[in-house]
Amino acid sequence: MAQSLNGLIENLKPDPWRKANPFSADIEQCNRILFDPALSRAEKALALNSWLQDKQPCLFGRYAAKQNWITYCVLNEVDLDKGDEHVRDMIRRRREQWKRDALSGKTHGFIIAIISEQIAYAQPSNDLLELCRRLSHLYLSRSEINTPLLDEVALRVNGDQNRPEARAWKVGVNWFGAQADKRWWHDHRIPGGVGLSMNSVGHMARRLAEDLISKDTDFAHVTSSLERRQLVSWAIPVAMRTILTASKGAIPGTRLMERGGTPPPEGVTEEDRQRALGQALCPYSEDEYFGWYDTDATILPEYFDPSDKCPRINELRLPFTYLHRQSDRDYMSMGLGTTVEESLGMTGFGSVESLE
Amino acid sequence: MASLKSSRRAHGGLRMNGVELVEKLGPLAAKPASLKRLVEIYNEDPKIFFELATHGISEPAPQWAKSISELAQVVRTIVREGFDITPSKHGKIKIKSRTYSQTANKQDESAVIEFLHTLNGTAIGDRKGKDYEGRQISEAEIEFKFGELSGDTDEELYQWLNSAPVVLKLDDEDRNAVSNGMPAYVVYGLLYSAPNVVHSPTAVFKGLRHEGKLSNGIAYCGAPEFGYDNNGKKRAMANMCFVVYVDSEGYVFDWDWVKSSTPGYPSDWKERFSQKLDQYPEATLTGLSNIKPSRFSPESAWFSQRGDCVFWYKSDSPAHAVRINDELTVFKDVENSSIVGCKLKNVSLMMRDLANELEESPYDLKVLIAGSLFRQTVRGTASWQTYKSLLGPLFGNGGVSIQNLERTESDLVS
Repeated sequence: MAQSLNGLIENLKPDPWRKANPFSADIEQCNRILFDPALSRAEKALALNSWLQDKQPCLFGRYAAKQNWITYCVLNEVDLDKGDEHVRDMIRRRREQWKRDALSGKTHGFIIAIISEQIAYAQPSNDLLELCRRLSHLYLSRSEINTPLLDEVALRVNGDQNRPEARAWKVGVNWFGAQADKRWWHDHRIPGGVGLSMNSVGHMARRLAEDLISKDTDFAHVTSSLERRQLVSWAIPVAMRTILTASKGAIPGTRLMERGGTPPPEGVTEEDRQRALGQALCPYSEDEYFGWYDTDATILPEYFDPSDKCPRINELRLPFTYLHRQSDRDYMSMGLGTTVEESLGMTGFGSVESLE
Repeated sequence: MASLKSSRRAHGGLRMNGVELVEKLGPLAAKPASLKRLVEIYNEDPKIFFELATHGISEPAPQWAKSISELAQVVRTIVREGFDITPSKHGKIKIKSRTYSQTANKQDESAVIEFLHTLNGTAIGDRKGKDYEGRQISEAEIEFKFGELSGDTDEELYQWLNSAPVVLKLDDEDRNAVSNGMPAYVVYGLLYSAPNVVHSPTAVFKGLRHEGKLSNGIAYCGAPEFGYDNNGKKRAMANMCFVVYVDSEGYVFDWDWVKSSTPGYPSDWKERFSQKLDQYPEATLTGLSNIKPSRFSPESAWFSQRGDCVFWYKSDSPAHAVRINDELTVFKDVENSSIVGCKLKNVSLMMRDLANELEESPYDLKVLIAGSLFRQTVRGTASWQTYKSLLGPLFGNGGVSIQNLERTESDLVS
């Protein structure tokens, strides 16, 4: 029989490396709120949300936090003492609320966080890996390692010819931990303990594009020649900029890949490409980037190695998306990103200076 | 094969018609309901499956069709609640959720598991990169995956999200007492069993004493899986529950293992407490991080002003508490039931009565115990043998001084 979350927490040991390397100031500040026993889960979720607006590297994630588009399931020691079936049930309820709200575009992301001082200060270890797996299992009924674990979220949209339809997107599940702070996987740090974060770029990109179409007649006209499914490509340069921003942070886990001599797809001119990506991103590939870890995989054993040094010797080549871009319309859609960001107030959202 | 045209219910929702289902499924119809059968139906046409699972089947419908529909609805609940898969007997696997349990043949395991995850929207990524485009889904699938599940209440979830917990703590005096000479198993009980019971009580009672400020005190009762010995190792505590006693200001002053006939309930709860609480706020116990056991000290007793009681342990053998009367609780060795210590309650009343009666110092433990014996004898509730077993060792060994009592004597005697 699988060990319970509480049973696994009992085996955790304090992290001697953390003693010598205290948490970053922003983590400490948020921890003070999260570890306050007198606060409700909603108040702690607000504190996490506030931290995410400034400190997490993904620009989409920051924007979602600012717009209050993230549903939180904050678990504390009271929940853990009530047993794993209680934890599973509360995750289920918040997951369902997330999905129902996401269907109407009210929310995009979902974060499950266990707030615990003992966990936050615990050394990465096999016991922490098993805790991660147990939490994944209580959420997804599965917990395979070294592979992307996926959930699903849906949105009601206007299809081609403005026909109402519903679409579903696969959502990557990502592990975050306080242990990551100042370690090689620093991009995956979170205050207060550990957690799983789910955010669909496709879901958010489609919703934002459709919002703008309904409000801005110029944008509606510009996009009228596109198939509806192409409306999401504007997010790719934003994803590139997320990597570019994060790579300038203190401990980057990813970086953009130079384009080199790769020509654009047939039918797409260099001018099309430059219009789509903008000057800053043109030197880089819109298809792949480098990472010291597989950013798609959910439970990586490397996260649970207590060393502060990256165990990998060579960087991985990672794709942005499995969306194939072959036509000039695809690149036209990519070029809409600036318009979307400006209209929605996303430009300049999150500077590298605010990252640790 | 004829395309399906489902009949519509009067209010516009879709509901499978049994006749049409038979027509649609053709020779595959009339097989017994099973998970494998549902996988086949889903693979044939997911919409049929989703309709059966969300809206059921209308009459006229043969029994096999109703069974299939009922099973589809069970599966919907299983995937939404979350499930565990374990080996079962006779070459089968068991799929268990909070509400339901189903079996399948081991040879069908991978197909059934993949089916359940598909229904749950959970998967392993088989392509690198993020999903930007998505896929179109039907209304039936939306209803299956995102429609309301019965049994949930918004009020419960709202309370869970927004309620601030009651924060319980120890008085500094009691914290010092715990870390200065009490048996280690008592300290471990505070560190590990007490928070567990406060966070997840089986029952909560109000009214710890019949008079005084503890008439508004609270007892949190629970059944942790283990107790602890003096080395901090887990030990079974069969037929016992753990009780945490809190005064009306949220200060924990006492905690014990006691006999239990109903799991999580003290056997004598109806006599001991005034009222069982049906509703109570979430609580959490804090301030335990710097508490550690120290060398055991049988020559000391400790007074808790919060609990208006004195604790004494003549031995550090792990023990449970047994209430003798409203002034005396003894600690009995869990192995052999010998008396290894005691708790004297309502000390303030005793001090008031004794102050004018005795020339000897009331701060000596044997004086207080003897005083209680006298009071209980007058009431007819003394257990002479019990008092004797406590008093005997106390005479002739120089006495046991009670920490904290002298300092607070002026507060007690009014």
